[in-house]
Amino acid sequence: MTMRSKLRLGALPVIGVAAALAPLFLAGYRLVFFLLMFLHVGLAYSWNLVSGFTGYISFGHVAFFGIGAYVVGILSGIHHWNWLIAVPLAGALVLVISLPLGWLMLRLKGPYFAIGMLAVAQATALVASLWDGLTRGGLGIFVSSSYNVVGVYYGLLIVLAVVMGVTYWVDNSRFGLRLLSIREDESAAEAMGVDTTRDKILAFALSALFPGLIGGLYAWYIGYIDPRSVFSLFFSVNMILMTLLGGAGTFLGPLIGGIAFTFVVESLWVRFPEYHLMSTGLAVIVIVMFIPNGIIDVLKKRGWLTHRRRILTRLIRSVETTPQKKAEVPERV
Amino acid sequence: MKSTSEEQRATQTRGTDGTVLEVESVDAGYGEMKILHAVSARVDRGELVSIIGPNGAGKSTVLKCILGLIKPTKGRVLFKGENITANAPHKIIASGIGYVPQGRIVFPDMSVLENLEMGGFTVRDKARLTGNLERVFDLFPVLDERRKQMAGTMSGGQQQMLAIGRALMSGPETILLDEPSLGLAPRFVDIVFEGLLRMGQEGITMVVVEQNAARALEMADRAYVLEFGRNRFEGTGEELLNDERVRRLYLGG
Repeated sequence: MTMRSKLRLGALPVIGVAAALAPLFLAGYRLVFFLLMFLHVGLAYSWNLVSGFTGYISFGHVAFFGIGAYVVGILSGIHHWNWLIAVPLAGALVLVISLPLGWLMLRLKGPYFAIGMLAVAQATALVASLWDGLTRGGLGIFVSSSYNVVGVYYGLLIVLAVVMGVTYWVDNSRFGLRLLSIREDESAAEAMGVDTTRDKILAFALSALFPGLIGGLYAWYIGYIDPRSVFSLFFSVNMILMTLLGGAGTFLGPLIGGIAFTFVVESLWVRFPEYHLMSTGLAVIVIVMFIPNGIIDVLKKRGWLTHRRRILTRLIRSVETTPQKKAEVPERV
Repeated sequence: MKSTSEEQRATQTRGTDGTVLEVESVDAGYGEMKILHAVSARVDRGELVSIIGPNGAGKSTVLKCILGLIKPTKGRVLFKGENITANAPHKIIASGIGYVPQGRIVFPDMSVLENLEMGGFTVRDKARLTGNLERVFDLFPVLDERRKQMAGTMSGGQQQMLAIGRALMSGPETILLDEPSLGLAPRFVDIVFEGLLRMGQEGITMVVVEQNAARALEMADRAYVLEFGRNRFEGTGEELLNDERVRRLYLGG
C-alpha cells in the first residue's frame, strides 16, 4: 500500500464520525436517504465477501436478508421481543444456517452455483409463504408500530462499519489471498495446498451473516414484511449490480458502487417512479459493456488510485531492492 | 526389466528404506467409471520417475490418487512410510508434495512475482521465501526478466515454467508434474526438461507423467508404462527405451 491510498483510507474514519453525528443535523427523508445508502452499501459488501473474492456468484443472497427480516418479524412483531435482541439473533440464526448450506451449495461451480442459490432463495420465500403457523404466510407481519429511524440508522451504520472492517482484513490477509486464488483458478489453488472447501464455506458464512443482520434491521425499519417484499429478487440483483459497478473483490468497490447506486435509484424513484425498475436492467447492460471491472478498475488504470494488496507485496518489496539479473552490471572502479 | 508380478513381489521384500512414495495396488476411478486396476509404483528419494502410456491409460489419475484429489476404492498410498490414502489434498500438499497440474495453470491476471508469492503462501519465514525465489529465478531466468509481466500474457512455455516455479516456492522435497511438455514448442520442451533435470540434481524427487514417451524415458531414472489402467512395463529409463515391445508400441519404431 502506498502513501497516497493510505491518506485516502484515512478519510474513512472521518466520514464514519460524520455519519455518526448526522442524525443530530438531519431528519426525515434526508436521514432515510443515508439509512438506505448504508443498507445498500452493507449488502454490497456482504455479497462481495463471497462472490467478489471467490468468484462464486450468488443470485440467492436475498435468502439471508429475508430470513433475518423474518426472525425479527416473528420475535419482535409477534412475540414483542426487544429489537436490540432480535436483530443479533437474526444474524446468529443466518450464520448457523449458512454453514451446512454453504457446505452443500459450494460443491456446485460456476452457473450451477448461481442457479442453485437462486433456487435456495425461492425455496426460503416459499417456506415463508407456506409455513403460516410460524410466519403468518401471505398475510405478512406487522413488525413495529414505532417508526424508529434513528435507531435503525445507527444499527446499519454499525453493521456497515463491521462488514467494511472484515472486508479490509480479508483484502489484506492470507485468507483473502487464498480466496483470490480460488477465484483465479480453483484447481491451481488446490494444487498449491489451499483447503478450498473450508475457505469457501468460511467466506460464504461471513457473507451470509451481514445480510441477516441488515434484513433484521430492515424489518424493524419498514414496519411490515411479507414474503414477496423481503424475498424480492431485486435485493439479490442489486447486491450484484452495486458490487460490479464499484469493483468486485476490492475493498472500496462496494462502497463506491453502493453510493452511486443509491443516488441513481433514489433520484429516479422520486422523479420517474414507473421507470426506475427498467433503469436497473439498463444499468446492468451499461456496466457489463463499458466498465466490466468496475469504477475502481477505471480509477486504477487512470492512476487515480494505487492500492496494492499488502500481503502480495512481501516478495515484490524484497525483490525491488535488488536489481534484476539482466540489469546487473559488475562494479569495477 | 521385470514383469509386473515379479516387481510386486520384489517391492514387498525390499522394505521402505529410501522409498519416498509408494502406490500399492490402487483401484480408482471417477464415479462408476473405473480407471485404475491394481496399479503399483514406487519412487525412491532423489529419483526422477516417469509414468508413460497412451491416452486414457490412467497416468494423471495416478497423480490425483497420490494427492488425494481422487480417493482410491482399493489399495493405499504411502508417503515417507505414512499412509496418506484418506488425507485431504491440502494436507498432503502441506506435508511436502508439490503439484504442477496439467495445462500450465497459472493465475492469468497476476504478475509473475504475484504468482510465485501465491505459491509460497504457506511459507511464513521471509528469508526462506526469498531463498526459494532465488532458486526459481536461477532455474528459469526468464521469470526473473519478466517479474512484472501478467502471467496470462506470457507464452505457453513461460507459463509452464511459472507453474513449476510456483510449485517450488513452498520448498517441497517431492514434486508431481502432469504432462509438463503438453502443447509446448520444441524449444520450450527442452528448457522445461532441462529445468527438471537440474531440479533432480538439487535432490528433488520427481514423478513426471508424460505423453512424450521418448523424452520422458531419456531423462527418467526409472519409469512405469501404464495401459488401460494397469501396469504394463517398468524398469530404468534406458531399459525401457531399448525394449523392443516398448519401442514398437509407444515410441513409433
